[in-house]
Amino acid sequence: MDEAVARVKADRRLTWLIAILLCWGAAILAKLVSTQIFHHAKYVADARRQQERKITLPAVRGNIYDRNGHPLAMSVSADSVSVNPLQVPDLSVAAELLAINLKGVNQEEIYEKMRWQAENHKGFLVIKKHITPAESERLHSLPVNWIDFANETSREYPNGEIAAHVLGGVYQQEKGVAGIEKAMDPVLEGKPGMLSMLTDVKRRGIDERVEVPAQPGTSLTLTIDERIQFVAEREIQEAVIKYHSRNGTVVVMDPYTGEILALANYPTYDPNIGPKEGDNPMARFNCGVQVPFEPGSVFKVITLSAALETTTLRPETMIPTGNGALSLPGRVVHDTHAHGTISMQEVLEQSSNIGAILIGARVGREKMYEYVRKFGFGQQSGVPLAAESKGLLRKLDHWGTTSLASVSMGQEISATSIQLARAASVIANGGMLVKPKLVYKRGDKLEPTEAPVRILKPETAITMRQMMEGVVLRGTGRHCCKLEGYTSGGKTGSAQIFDTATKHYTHSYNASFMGFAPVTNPQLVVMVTLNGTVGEAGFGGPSAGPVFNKVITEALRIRDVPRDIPDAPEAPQLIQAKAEKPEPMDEDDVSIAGLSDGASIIEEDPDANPLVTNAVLTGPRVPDLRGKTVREVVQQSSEANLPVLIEGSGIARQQSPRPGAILPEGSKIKVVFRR
Amino acid sequence: MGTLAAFFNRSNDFIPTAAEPAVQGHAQGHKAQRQQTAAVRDAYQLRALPNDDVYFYCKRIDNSRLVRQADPAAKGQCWSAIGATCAVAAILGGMMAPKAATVLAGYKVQQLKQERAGLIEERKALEVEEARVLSPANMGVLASRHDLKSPGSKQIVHLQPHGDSAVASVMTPNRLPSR
Repeated sequence: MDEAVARVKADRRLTWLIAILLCWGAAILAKLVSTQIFHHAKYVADARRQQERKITLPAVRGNIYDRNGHPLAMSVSADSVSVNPLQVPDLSVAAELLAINLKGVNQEEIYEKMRWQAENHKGFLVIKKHITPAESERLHSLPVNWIDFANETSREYPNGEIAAHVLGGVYQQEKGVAGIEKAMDPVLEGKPGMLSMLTDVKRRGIDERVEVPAQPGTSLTLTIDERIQFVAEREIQEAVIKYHSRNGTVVVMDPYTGEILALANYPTYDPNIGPKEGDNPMARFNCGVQVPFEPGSVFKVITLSAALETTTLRPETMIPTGNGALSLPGRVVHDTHAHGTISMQEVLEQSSNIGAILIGARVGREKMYEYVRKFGFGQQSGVPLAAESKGLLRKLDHWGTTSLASVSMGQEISATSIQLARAASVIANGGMLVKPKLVYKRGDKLEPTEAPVRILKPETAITMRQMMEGVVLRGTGRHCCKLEGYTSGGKTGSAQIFDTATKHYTHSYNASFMGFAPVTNPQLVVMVTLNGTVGEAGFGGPSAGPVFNKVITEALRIRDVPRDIPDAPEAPQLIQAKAEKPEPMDEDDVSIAGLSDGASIIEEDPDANPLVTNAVLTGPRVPDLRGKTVREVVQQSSEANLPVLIEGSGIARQQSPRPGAILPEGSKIKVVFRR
Repeated sequence: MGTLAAFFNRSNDFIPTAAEPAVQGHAQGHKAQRQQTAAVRDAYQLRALPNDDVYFYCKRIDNSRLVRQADPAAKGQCWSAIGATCAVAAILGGMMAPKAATVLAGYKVQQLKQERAGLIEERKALEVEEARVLSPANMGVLASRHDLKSPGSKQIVHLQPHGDSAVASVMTPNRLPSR
């Protein structure tokens, strides 16, 4: 009986044990089912969160290149250094280490900052942003754990100040702040992506999956040529300093496409360095685009163009400028000296204010306003730069009694350098208004050029070209604007600056020169402005003219434009005189040499050909055969008894010697035809 | 001796069974002894552990002359077991190896990617440095140091006319770049 009872008890105990074991197993199973089935998604997500790292793929900002592919702005990775002063064992040693390894870090200053932070229980101090790779390497090699590095990108402008106003700059987060960086920010910045990385327990990457691919910013190729830009900046800086002007601007433009080859301002700044206290605020202004000014006499080009288009006035039409003074309601306008009765061409050459007013009066208010608008004044040129000014052109119904006279000589109107360069392009390209173009390519894709609009008849533009050439040869630009080897045309301007405080014009000038070269087929337009020059030396001719001369000479060389004034052999007398008096040839002589391009060899030996002078000065003039068919050329040359060498077929596109030159005996006129 | 069986069969309930003839007589002696002892046991004395006084006789067995009977199938079974184990190991290895190789390759790939990114950054830095060195300003300084100057227009000879630039004509609309 006892045994049976014992067994029952044992069985009961065993049953309990098994039941407990079964419950335990059931609990495990239930947990497994819960984990694997019901909460599957949650645990998978938890596991992913633990094993995967979400990494933002930065969108690299697009680079900016000049038209030849030289980098003007690039984004590179750079470390920024910070420390936790609460973890630094010895602040003085830390400050010394940082000062030794980081350029521009002051030991005492850093020590004070760290000490202050440590005392105030602050654990984060940025020491230096965007350190160089060498500095980064040095700091990484230090056996300390209190230096933190943050990998960031830094915008680098390797050319420093060159094209600073065109490029602008960026904020810390690489957002454009000015210039093309701001205007084209959406194109340059790109879109960041997202990367999912599978990691091990030490957070080392094993596998990765790009969830959203990063779209890097599009690189831009500008129309700027950094070599021409450099020359322009060098020359304008020199001129601003020399003539004590407040600022200066040079714009170099291709007249046919509107491509801006250089846009230089002085004072300027280095976009690698952010603005600091005490900096000249003017340095950050892109004066050529943002700051309009009264153009003065350069505006007479527009007045005369309008006159040629809308009146019967011709370059040879005589204009009575009188004794150099003209009374207008409420004011008297003076010329620099009395010109008497002069031709319209001489009005431009001598820059007669009275002549321009009289011509403007012939044009009339409505037509003048219409042409001023047609030339693009009073409206933005459309250059893709931030904060472009449209200048100031009052509406016609706001013009006063003397407004027409004022506008005719470039007063009561303000324009930017880019607008004036655009206006000069109209003359240079044969009457078409082009839109200034600064972006040449987006990535590998060429930026389309906007079709220009014809605003002048071709013959008007050509007449204006010849008249502007006269300014350089005989007028106000004769002393410093003639180019060696190239014909050029232009117009000087010396606009008195209006003092808004005293409501009077001061004796400070906006000296300017707008010109182009070569005259026969202008390849470049250059607009030079010096703001705030003083005295006669600060007039447009003497101050802005030399800048034009140097910039366009270099630009023509860089653009590989062939000379259009062949080397004329010098007369024996001249060569002898030159040997006795080693001075440069008189400018008038140069212009004569420029017109006679019968020979293209520099004659240095006076005994080599004593008859060369006669050969140059006598003989038949070469007619203008361009634009004619082969039949017409043959007919005209046979009538004039001139030997012609024909090359190609179609329309005469090119001829040598140029029209008007004297054909040396035994030479032939070479005419190249193209379809 | 406190065995599990003894634990379930308390000493007070101990009853010899037919399966325990060898120890029965011996146990009866002990029972009588325990009853005597219990009679004189102090009521407050701790009771001994159950079967604390039970001892078993251990017979010494000499197996030295025993010889294992030859089993011709044992060797085969042994080898098949080894083979099966190896096969399972190979299958498991084969299944795991690609995964392991993938992980190792992943480490390598990540390392190479980092290296590549570093090299790209290094190249960029070098390009910036190159651009800085070749900047017109720097070239101007170097040129002036070596007494080099830009050539004048008369020092340049164009052997061929320069295409369109030599054409002097009014631009017609059809020559202009279109939109």
